[in-house]
Amino acid sequence: MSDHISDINRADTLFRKVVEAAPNAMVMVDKSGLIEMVNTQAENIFGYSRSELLGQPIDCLLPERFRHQHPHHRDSFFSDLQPRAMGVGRDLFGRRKDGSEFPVEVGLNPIETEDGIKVLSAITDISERVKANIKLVEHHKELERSNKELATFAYVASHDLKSPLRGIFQISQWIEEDLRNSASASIPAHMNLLRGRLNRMEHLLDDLLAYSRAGRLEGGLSQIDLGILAKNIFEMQAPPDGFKLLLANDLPIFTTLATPLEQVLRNLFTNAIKHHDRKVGTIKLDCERKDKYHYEFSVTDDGPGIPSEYHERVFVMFQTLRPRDEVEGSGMGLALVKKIVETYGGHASIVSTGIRGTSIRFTWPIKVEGKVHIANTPEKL
Amino acid sequence: MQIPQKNYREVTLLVVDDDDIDTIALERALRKLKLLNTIYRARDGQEALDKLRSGSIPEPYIILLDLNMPRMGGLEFLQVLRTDPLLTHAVVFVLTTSKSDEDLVAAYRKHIAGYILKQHMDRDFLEVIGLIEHYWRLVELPVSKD
Repeated sequence: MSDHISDINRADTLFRKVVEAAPNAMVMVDKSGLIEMVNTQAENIFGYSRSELLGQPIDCLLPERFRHQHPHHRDSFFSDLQPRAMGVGRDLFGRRKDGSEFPVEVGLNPIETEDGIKVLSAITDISERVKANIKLVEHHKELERSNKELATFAYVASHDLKSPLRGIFQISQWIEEDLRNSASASIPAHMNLLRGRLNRMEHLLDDLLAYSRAGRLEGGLSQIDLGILAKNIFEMQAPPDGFKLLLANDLPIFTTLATPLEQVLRNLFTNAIKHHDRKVGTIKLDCERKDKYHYEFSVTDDGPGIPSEYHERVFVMFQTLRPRDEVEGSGMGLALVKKIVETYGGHASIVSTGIRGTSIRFTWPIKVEGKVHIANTPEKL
Repeated sequence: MQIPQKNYREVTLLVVDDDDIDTIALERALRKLKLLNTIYRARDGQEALDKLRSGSIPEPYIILLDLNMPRMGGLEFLQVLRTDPLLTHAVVFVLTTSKSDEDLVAAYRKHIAGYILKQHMDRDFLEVIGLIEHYWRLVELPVSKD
C-alpha cells in the first residue's frame, strides 16, 4: 500500500516538475474552472505570483468582454474531451495583472486525475508574431503598389518615350534625302530639331526616374525655415530677370522631411516660371493651418491660368496642356508633386479661373512620419 | 448642265497634330508626290474646331487627325465634330501611333474614313499619302452650298 502511494507521489512530483519546466505558460484548472496549478512562465506572462492565482477562476486571466462566453466554451470542451487548440478561428487575448491585454494561442489538454478530469492549458504570448504579420501585410501592400507602378511605367515608356525616337528617325531620313538632292538649306534647322528631340528624351527619362523615386528618397528629418528654403530653391532655378518670389510672413520653421518638400516646391516653381506668358511675373508662397495636423501651402503665380476642365488632367503623368513643340516639358511636374504629397497623407489641388493666375495648393503634415519602403535601389548589373 | 470642275488640287488638308516633326514629314511626303494642296495646321482638337468654325478652312477639305494631343485629343475632337451640324459631314483620316484596340474602335465609332498607323515611316508613308491622294481624286467630297 505504501509503495503504491509513494509511486503516486513520485509520479505526481515528476508531473509537477515537467509542468514547471515547460517553455510555455501552463495553467491547470478543474471542471469548474478554478486554477489548481500554474508554472513560472504563467506567472511571468500574466504578471501574477502563483499564490494570487491558485484557487481563482481562470476567467480572471481573460479580458472582461470574453468572460461571459467562457463557461459555455468550457462546458463544450468537457462534453467532448479532445486535446485541441482553443478558439480556432477566433483571436484570443489574455489579460495581465496590470489590466493590459496581449494576443495568445492556447492549447487544451484533458488530464485524468484521481480528483477527476482537469484541463491543462498551454498558453503562448503571440504578440511578436502578430506584429510581424502586420508588417508582412504592409510589405505586401507596398509590393503590390510597386508592381502596379512598374506596369504603368512600362506602358508609359513604350508610348511617350517612343515618340521622340520616331522623330529622330524621321529627321535622319530627311537629312539623308536632302544631302542626296543637294537641298542642304534646311539641314541646320533639322539638326536642331534632332537635338531637341534627344534632349526631350533625356528629360523624359530623368523625370520618369524622379517620379518613380518620389516619396522614397526621404533623406532624414531636419529643421527647416520654409522661407529660407523656398528662397534658395527659387534662386537655384535661375529665374529670368523679371520674375520674383513673394513670401508670406507666417511661413513656419518646423522639423520635417526636407528632401521631398524641396522636390515639391522646386517642381511648382519651375512650372510657374516655365508656363508664364509674360516677361515679368510674381510667384507667391503662402501658408495656412489647414487643421490640427496639417499645413496647407500654396504656390500662386500670375501666369495664364488653367481652365477648370483641365484641373484633373494636369496631375496625370505625361499630360501637358501645351504641345511639347511649343513649351518643352515632360508633363511630369504636377504628377510628381501629387505623388509626393499623397505619400505623406496630403492632398494637392488647383485653384484657377483659367483667365489669369494659377494657385497650386497642397497639404503637408506638421509632424511627418517616414514611410516603410521596399528597397528601391536597382541591382548592380 | 454644268458639270462641276473637279480639280483635285483644290482639296484642302487640315492637319491636326501637336508634333512638328510629324507635320513636316507629311509636308515632305506631299511634296515628293508633287501634290500642291494647301495644308492648314492645328495643334490640338480645340484649335482645329476653332479654325473649322471660323470658316478659315476652304472646302472641300480632308482632316488628318492625330489622337494623342494636349488640351483636346483626337477622340474628344471627333465627339464634338460629329455633333456639330455644320461640321458633322467632314471626312477624317486618323493618323496616329496608337495601336490600342480601344482607340481604334472608338475612332471608327465616330465614323472616320480610315485609321492609319504613323509607324510606317519610310516607303510605306508615301503609300499612305498616296492612298489619301487617290481617295480625294476619286471620291466626291461634300461642299456646303451657300
